Order: sequence, then structure tokens, then C-alpha cells
Amino acid sequence: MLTGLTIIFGFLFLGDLIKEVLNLPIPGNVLGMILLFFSLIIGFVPLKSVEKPSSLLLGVMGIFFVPAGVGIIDQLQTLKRFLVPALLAITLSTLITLIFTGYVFKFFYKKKDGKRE
Amino acid sequence: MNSVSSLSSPIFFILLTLAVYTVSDTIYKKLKTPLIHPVFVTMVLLILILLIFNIPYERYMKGGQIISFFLGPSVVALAVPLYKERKRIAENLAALSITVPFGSLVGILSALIPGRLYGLSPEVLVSLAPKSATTPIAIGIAASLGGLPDLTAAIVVFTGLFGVITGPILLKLLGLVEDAVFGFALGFACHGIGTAKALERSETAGAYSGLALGLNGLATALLTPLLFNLLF
Repeated sequence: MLTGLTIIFGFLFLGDLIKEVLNLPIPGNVLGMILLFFSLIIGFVPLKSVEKPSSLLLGVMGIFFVPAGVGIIDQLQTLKRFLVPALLAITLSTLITLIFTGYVFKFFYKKKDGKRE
Repeated sequence: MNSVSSLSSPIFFILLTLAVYTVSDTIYKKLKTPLIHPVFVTMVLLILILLIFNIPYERYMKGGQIISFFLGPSVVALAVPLYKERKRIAENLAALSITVPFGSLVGILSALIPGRLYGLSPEVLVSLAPKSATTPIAIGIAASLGGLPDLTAAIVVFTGLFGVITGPILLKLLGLVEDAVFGFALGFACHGIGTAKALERSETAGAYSGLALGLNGLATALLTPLLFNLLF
């Protein structure tokens, strides 16, 4: 477990470092995910070492979003002025995005036997 | 409240968040209805508690930021389900290379166009455009184009919550039920909150959701400045 956590935090740090040095618009954690993914593929990191801490973190991931969500409290004043149009735009757009990506991905996605859906 | 300093310590706010979430999550798992998503319920209850006891968000965040901090390693940890799906992902590179740019375009424009028609100001529009991207990317985009970072964060979280409450019902109605498709759509439209939801379904759904989150984040970061310069 400790080895795995060290590896995960190592990649998080590496991602942040690369983002800062190269001044990339991508967050360090997304870079860390990409780097860990390729390290697993080339066998630099064995799957077994990161499996447990990964499922531990991902199993409770929802709660990590709560504090940012509570932040809406400070935006209530700003949002009041255009609450209805903003809500309409967000909800409409979220539904359209879900439907569009779902259908397009399904259309091109190959099932396990290699055939198209 | 100020007389007892333990009540404004980080520990107290971490405890409060954990306790409210645990109760919400238990109820959610018993009732199995997406309408009472635990992230949403916890958020609403905590906002009410802060308002009732007149606690500034800044003070809550002394504990809150310690919880938020774990989003970073969690996103890195998504490499594991992604790795387990590597063969299937390699087989579907064509599907990804078509869905990602067009999906991202649809996601941005479908927020910008109605927003513009309703007469929202440019700084609000720019805060609205990256709503489906993961929070750090969305904030970066909005800030670089003259948007409001705090408003963007609130919009991103609202998008995620709205999507995970309505998405599973909508996707089921439309027959988009396969784990990979379900996870991909949720991660694409609802970033990490969608991914957390997809992980409840299966590891496969979680892997595609994490993939979609990362790819849409990249596409949104590239497309938003381009579209904004074109349109405004």
C-alpha cells in the first residue's frame, strides 16, 4: 500500500513539475495520470504495486468534490443576476453533450468481438 | 461559535463533511435513486449549515481543502482502470478520435449559443464555455480569457452534479447502457463527478470515464480560445 501511494504521489509531483516547467495548459494531475498509464504499459510500474491505493482513492472519490461544491455559496450573489439564463444554458448544454457523446461513441465503438455495435 | 475554537478547526470541518457524506451515502445506497446523489445532498446540507451558523466559506475550507487535496492523487489513480482497459482502448482509437473533438465542440457551443441568446455578458460566457472540463482546466481556460475563476468552479461543479443526477436516467432511456459508452458520456460531459458515478457502476465504466475526462479536458483547453476568438 505504501509503495503504491508513494508511486501515485510521485507521478502527481512529476505531473505538476512538468506542467510548471513547460508551462502547459493541462493540470499536473492529468499529466500524472497519462505518465502513470504509460509507465504501466512499458512495465516500469508493476500493476500490483498501485492497484490497492488506486481502488481505495477511486472508491471514495465523490467526497473529494464536496468542498468545491460548497464554494457555490460564495457565488450566489454573482449568480443571482443571471441565474435563470445561466441555469438554462448549463442544463441544456449538459444534456446535449451527454446525448451527443453517448450516441457518437456508441456508433463507432467496437464490441469485444471486434464488430461494430 | 467563536468562543469554542475547536468548532472552527480544520478537524471539525473534516469531521462534519465526512459525517454528512457518510449519512447521505448510506441513504443513497439504501434507496438507490439517483435524485439524492450523495455529493449533491452533502453539498446542500453543508451550505445550509454554513448559512445557518454564519460560518464563512473561507473558514470551512481550512478543513475542506484537506479533503479537496485528494482529488489530485485520485486523478492520477485513474491510470490503473485505464491500463486494465488498454487493449479495448487501442481497438477503439478511431471512435475516440471522432467523438472527442466533435463532442467537445458540441459541449462548448451548446452552452455559448443559448448563453449568448439570453444576453449573458462575455465574462460570464467565458466562465460557462469550459463547464464540462475538469475544474483545474476549466479555471485555467476561463482565467486566460477574462472569465471569473470562482464562478467557473461553481458552474463546473453544478454541471457535474446536474449531469450525474439526470445522466443515468437519460442514457438508459436512450439505450446507451453499455459500460464503456455510459462511462465515456458521463466522464465527457461531467468530468470527475461523472467519473465517480461511473466507478459505482463498474471498473470498465470508470476507465472510459477517466479517459473521457482527460481527453475532453485537453480538447476544451485547445478549442475554447479558438472558438471564442472566432465568435466574439
